[in-house]
Amino acid sequence: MRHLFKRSDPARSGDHNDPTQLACPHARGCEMFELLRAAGTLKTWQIRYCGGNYHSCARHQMSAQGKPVPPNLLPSGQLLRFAGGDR
Amino acid sequence: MTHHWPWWLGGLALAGVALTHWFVLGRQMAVSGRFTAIVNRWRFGAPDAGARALQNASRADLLAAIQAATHAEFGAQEEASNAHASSTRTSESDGTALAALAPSEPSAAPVSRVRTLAEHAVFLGSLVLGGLFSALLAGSLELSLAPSGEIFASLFAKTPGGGALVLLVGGVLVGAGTRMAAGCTSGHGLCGVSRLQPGSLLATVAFFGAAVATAFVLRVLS
Amino acid sequence: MSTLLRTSILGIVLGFALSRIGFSSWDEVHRMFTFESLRMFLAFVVGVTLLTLAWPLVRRFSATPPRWSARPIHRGTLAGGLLFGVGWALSGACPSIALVQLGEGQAAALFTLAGIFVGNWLYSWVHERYFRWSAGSCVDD
Repeated sequence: MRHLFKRSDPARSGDHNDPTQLACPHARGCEMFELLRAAGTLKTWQIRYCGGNYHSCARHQMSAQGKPVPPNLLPSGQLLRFAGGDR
Repeated sequence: MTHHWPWWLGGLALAGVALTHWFVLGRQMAVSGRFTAIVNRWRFGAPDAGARALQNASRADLLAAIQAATHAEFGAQEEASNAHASSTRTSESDGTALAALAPSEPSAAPVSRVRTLAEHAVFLGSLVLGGLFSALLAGSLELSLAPSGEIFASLFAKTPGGGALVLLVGGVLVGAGTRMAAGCTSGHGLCGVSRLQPGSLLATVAFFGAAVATAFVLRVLS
Repeated sequence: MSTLLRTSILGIVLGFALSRIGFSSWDEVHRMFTFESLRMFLAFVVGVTLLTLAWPLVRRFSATPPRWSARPIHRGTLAGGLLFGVGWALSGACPSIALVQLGEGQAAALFTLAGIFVGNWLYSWVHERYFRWSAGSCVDD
């Protein structure tokens, strides 16, 4: 039954302190997560923002406040910027 | 009295429109989300320009931007750990996944397209047009200032302004409730339930249940 | 075909269908909720059933796997659903219907529409101020 609910607690099946465990309930649907994974830089971001302290992720914070999350918002609160300028 | 479609045609139409919405617009149909988007634009302003740039960015720009951001956040240690990680993991994580996403197109970002205010306004305005065409077809187009429906009138039209007040209050509950539940009859009821989404199943049972209860209360009170 | 044109076509088709089925008639909706008439409820059931059968086929035959947002149960699901249900029975309208009614000439739907925007705004304000939970994903419009 619990799988029906948003997982708001750390991954049940793993060590809470294991930095590779995804505790953030959004991780599965997070587009920035996929973007970082595709670019090959996911691991360090995931360890800092998608594990036990996912509350520090700027994307999660905005979503929890009911605000629209900019697609280019990084977990750190910075926005992805492009060299070619904003088209 | 307007003639309405039989149940089987109505069912076909609802499913057909939901499917068409997916094929033509690339999203699950969900109307209350458009209201939410409009209110969000009003409360929080227009989306950051970088959101659009993200959609249009080339693979190279995307990689560069992400690497720059990663470096800014974690410093040079990140590049070393990534180089190590890449050599021990599958190709999925060494940037070629980006290539696999959109090998020939300039846009490589696997992100949903941010919809513009104009799109939302056009959709809502088109709902109005749909109603207009329907009324024209049925020959029932009639500008009426009073709330329509005999049952509605018998319930609320006795006190002046009673009907308008009920519609207003009902509307507030609809607006607040659909945002709170993150969906309405189209998003949750049609699309969510048919995809067996737990939130949609619960929301749909809740709103149908509450509606039935309210309707019976109204009947008792009348 | 431009996005705006496609959006418009979908809106017209949806509005037309909802009106023809009868969802824009307060009386018809009331009859549905009091089980006086099962027609529209059946239409809804048929629609959902057809879609339940269709989505897996759509997924199977899609060139790229479609990404459909998850809709998990969150803290606003039940309460929001209940509020919406009460409002729907009172106003006879879910969000799209208020607009369809306007198209049919029901000017009173302006009150419903105003209420929907006010309600959505009010909830947004309340949530930002007092609640801390998300609806399940950070993907939004």
